[in-house]
Amino acid sequence: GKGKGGKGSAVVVEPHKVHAGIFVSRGKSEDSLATLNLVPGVSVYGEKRVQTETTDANGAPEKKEYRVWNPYRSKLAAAVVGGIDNCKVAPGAKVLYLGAASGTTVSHVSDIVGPTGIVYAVEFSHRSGRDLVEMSKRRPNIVPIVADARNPKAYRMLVGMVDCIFMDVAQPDQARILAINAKQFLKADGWFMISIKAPCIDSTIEPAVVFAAEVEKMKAEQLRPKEQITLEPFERDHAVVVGVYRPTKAKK
Amino acid sequence: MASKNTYILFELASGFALFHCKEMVQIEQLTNESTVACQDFGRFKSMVGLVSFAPFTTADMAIENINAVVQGQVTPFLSDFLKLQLGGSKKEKAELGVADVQLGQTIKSTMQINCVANDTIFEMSRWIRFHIAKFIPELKEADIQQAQLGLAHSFSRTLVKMNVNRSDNMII
Repeated sequence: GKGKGGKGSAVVVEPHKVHAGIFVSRGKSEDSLATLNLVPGVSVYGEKRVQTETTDANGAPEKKEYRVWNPYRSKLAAAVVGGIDNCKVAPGAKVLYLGAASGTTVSHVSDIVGPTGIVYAVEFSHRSGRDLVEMSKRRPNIVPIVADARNPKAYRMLVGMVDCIFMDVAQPDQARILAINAKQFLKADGWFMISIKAPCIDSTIEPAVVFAAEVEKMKAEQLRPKEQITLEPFERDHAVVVGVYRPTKAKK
Repeated sequence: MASKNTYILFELASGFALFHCKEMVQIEQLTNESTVACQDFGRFKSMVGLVSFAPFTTADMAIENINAVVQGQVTPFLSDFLKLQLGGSKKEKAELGVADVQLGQTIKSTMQINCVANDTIFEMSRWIRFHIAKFIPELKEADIQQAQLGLAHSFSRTLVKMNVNRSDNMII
C-alpha cells in the first residue's frame, strides 16, 4: 500500500456501504478496503494496519485498528471491490473456506465474522497448511483443517453446519468439490461463493464459455447461482459466482 | 430408505452419538419440498431420536478416535460403545448407518453388525448435524465449536509435522 498510516495521521475508516463487517479506509490519494483487526497489534502477512481514534456513544475515546485488504491478493476482496451484491461472509456467520492456502484471506474472513462467527479453513497443501495452523493459533474463530476438500468425509468430525461456503481451489473439478461439501455441511438457503479460474478448467476455450459450463454443473447439484462477476482488473480470466443452496422459498 | 431397525452413527469432535430411526424414512422426506419440515426440530425429532452419546474425556482420546475413523478403523472405545448399544438380540435385525463405506466394512467384519451407507443415511446425517446441539442436552453449540477447534489444531498439527521434510502433497 501507499502512504503512511502511522500515529498522528488523520485516517478515516467508514463501514462499507453494502457489506456489514467490511470497512473502507479513506486515504489522501486512494481508498482501500479494510477489516477490523481481531488481534490488534498484529499483522498476519505484512499488511498495513491503520488506527483510528473516535468517540463512542458516551463520548469516551475509542481506539480501533483495521487491516488493509488488498484486492490484488484476495479474490474475495476483488469481488467486493468489483461490486458484488451478495457477500454472506458477514458478522456472526459460520463459514466453510475451501482452499485456505496460507490463510491471508482467511484472516480477513476471521476479522469479518468476528468473535461470534467461525471459519472452518480447509487446505490440502502441507506447506501452506503449516502457515495456516500457525496463524490460527492467535485467532480462536478459525478452525484450521489440513485435508483434501475432495474428501469431506475426512473432516466430518471437525465441521458443523455452515451458513456460507467460500471456495478458491483452482481445480478442474471444483464444481463437484463444491457440491459434495455443500451436501454435507451447507444449510438449506445457505450461500456459496466460488472463484473460478477459467484456464484451470479448460485453457483451450473462451473463459466465458467455461464459466457458463461451470454454472450448469452447479445447477444440477441444487446450487442456484444468483450473480456472477469477473475479477478484472485484479485477476485475469477469473469469475466469482455467488448463489443459494437448496432454496426453500418459491422461485421468483 | 431407512427402516425402524436403522441406527445411525454420528461422529463429532466431542464424542460418538448413536441415533435411531423411529419411523420408516424415505429420502423424499429429507430433501427438496420437505426441507422446511426437517428444519423444525420437533418434526425431525419424531423421525430420529438420540439413543446414546459417548463423550471423549481427554484430548488424546479425541485425536486417537478421529485418526482411526478417518482411516475407516474402529477404536476399542467405538467398539465398546456399539457393542453396548447394539449388542444382544438387537444386533440380529439392526442395521447401522455410517458416513463412510470403509468404516462400515470394518464394523461389519469385526463386530458382525450390518452397516449401510446410502443417500438416505447421508441426508439424515445432514439433518442430525443441523440439529445436533439440540439433541444432546449436555452439549451446547459453543462446547461443540470448542471441541472442533481443539481437535482440528491437534489433527492438523500432527499432519503438518509428519511431513516436515517431505515435498509438498499439492496436486498440480
